[in-house]
Amino acid sequence: MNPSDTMTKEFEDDSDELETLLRSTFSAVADTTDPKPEWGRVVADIGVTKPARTGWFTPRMGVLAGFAAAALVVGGIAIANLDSTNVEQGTDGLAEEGSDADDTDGTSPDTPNPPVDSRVPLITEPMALQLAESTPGVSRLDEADLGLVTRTAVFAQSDVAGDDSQGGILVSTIAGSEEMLGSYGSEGDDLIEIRGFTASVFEGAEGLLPGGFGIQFYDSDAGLAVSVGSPSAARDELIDIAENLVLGADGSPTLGPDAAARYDQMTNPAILAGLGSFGTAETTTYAVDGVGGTLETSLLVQVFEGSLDDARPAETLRGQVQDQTVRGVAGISSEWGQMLRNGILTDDTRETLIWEESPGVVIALSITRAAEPGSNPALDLVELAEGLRIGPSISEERTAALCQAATDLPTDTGEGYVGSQAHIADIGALAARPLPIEIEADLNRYFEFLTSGAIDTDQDPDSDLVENWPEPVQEALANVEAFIETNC
Amino acid sequence: MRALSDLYSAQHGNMVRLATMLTGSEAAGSDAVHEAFIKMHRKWDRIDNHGAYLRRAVVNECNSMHRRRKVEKKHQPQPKPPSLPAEIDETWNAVQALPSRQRTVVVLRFHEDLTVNQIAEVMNVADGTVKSQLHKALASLRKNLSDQLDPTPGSRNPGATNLTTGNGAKEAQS
Repeated sequence: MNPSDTMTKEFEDDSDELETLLRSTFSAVADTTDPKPEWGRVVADIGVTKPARTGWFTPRMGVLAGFAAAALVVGGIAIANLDSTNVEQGTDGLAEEGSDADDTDGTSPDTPNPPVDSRVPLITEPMALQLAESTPGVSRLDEADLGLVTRTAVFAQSDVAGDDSQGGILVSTIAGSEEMLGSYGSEGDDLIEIRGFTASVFEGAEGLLPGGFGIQFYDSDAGLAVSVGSPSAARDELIDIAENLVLGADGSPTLGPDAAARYDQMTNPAILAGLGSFGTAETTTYAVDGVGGTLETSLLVQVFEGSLDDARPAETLRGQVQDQTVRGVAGISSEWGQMLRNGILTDDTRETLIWEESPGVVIALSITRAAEPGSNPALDLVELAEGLRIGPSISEERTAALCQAATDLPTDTGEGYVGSQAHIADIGALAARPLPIEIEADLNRYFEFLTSGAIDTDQDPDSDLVENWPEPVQEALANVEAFIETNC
Repeated sequence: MRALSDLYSAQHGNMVRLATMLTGSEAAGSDAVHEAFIKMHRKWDRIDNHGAYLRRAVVNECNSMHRRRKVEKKHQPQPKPPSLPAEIDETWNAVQALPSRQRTVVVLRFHEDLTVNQIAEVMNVADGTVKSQLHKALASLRKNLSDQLDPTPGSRNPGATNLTTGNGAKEAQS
């Protein structure tokens, strides 16, 4: 029995009553709905709406516009043409209700900050409101991408120290569920299949990567959103790179064993310098929507493991870096200038502020905004930084919740439980909750196996023995159980 | 513009109903449909199947709106739900409590009567994703609506953590 049969059968056998209830409910709600056509409003809004910002700078993309940029600055990698304006990370992760944001009480900047022993940064509400109010046309403030862990690798030409590194490749991965990270490819994107997954391809001709391309997709097997970009690679070349990526168990990307040889034959031959992965970073993005849902401003905060010394080489990138004192320690601020040189948003700017909050903990605060006429360019990053609060790690919270749920699982289940609908329901309920990223992919893999129909004791009495399951499933299960044993 | 107007006349009501299911609010649903039509206008000439595109755009817009509203909801009064019988109201609340993707598959399946394959096309995901989301959604609804559904036979005793075999299940033969 294949997974499809399993799902369909269960759906038909067990859900008649529930189906009837759902249909009745939707019918009743539909009956109470009284749509009022507003064609005139559509016509009016079509007349005043700005041209669509396609490709790189849809809200979905723009939310993470600063993701790679801050990573690059903190990593101290001098690739001027490979910052986030060129290689953006597209996710639209969700801020969860009841999350750390609820703990934010708008405490004044004078309030002592809690120890930074965790990884979820928060801008206090007054600061966020200030950001919103200082940007004309802003209609709302969104909080997104709480606690996303990213790993970024840069593979560049040998002249990485200069500004002429046109041949580099940047690969970023973000661990999380598809629910959190969102699907890729919609609204007329250029969609292709990469590694068996639907991927969006973005062309630099839209303004950000003259001659280059970017590819984004969600690898549901690995539980990773993957972004691959290069300012110089041709479309087919970048597709080849993306197809041959090697993703480590923790999501760290590498180009694969024969990448150098392959890349040598590409349009822009280069000697690859594998700069490896950065440490993990948990990130909060605040996106301020403008007219029609188009992103106008994003504010991004990242917490890295590392030292400010690692970030100092970023100074050599631009001649516009200044030293700042932030929260009582030295920091670096940088005006990135016109980031979209040939694009629609020619006046967009990015400012980044980096400081070492405590030994081994570096925080990067980055703002991107469209310089609309009459906008306030003097938004004070330092003031925002002073108001920053660091909440508990999202992983810690999810681990605690998982532990509670795991202890509620039945143990006195009897013969025949493994692979039964009850078992599937129990594990499905566990897998449906927000999970620590360390085990999310493993638990989902285990759940998918359970629902695959592979356990059929009528056909094979030993099919419910763990030792008879596929090795990847055994490994996934072992990882989950080890995680629970260690952390719960 | 005429073609867009015709589509608006023909589909606006249906799309608002769909969006209401997805957002939980007629006002929010109307806004989502409004945005979908505006975005559709920008790409009209590049769209092959306008009806299918519209539905997909509405679903995308609702999901995007849902994310934004998660933050706003903390600070704003909630829209008054439609006046419904208690049983329906409880089911409606349970559906609205589902994660957005699960809610979307449930609405598309039981309100729009789409097949798994059609839902996958609308959501731009694999068939398997639809099935797993549907499974999770139904499991969650069964649990939350247990009072309205027949009790499930074979209750088990709660106990300590065990993801696989449980106390009574078979152990591998050594």
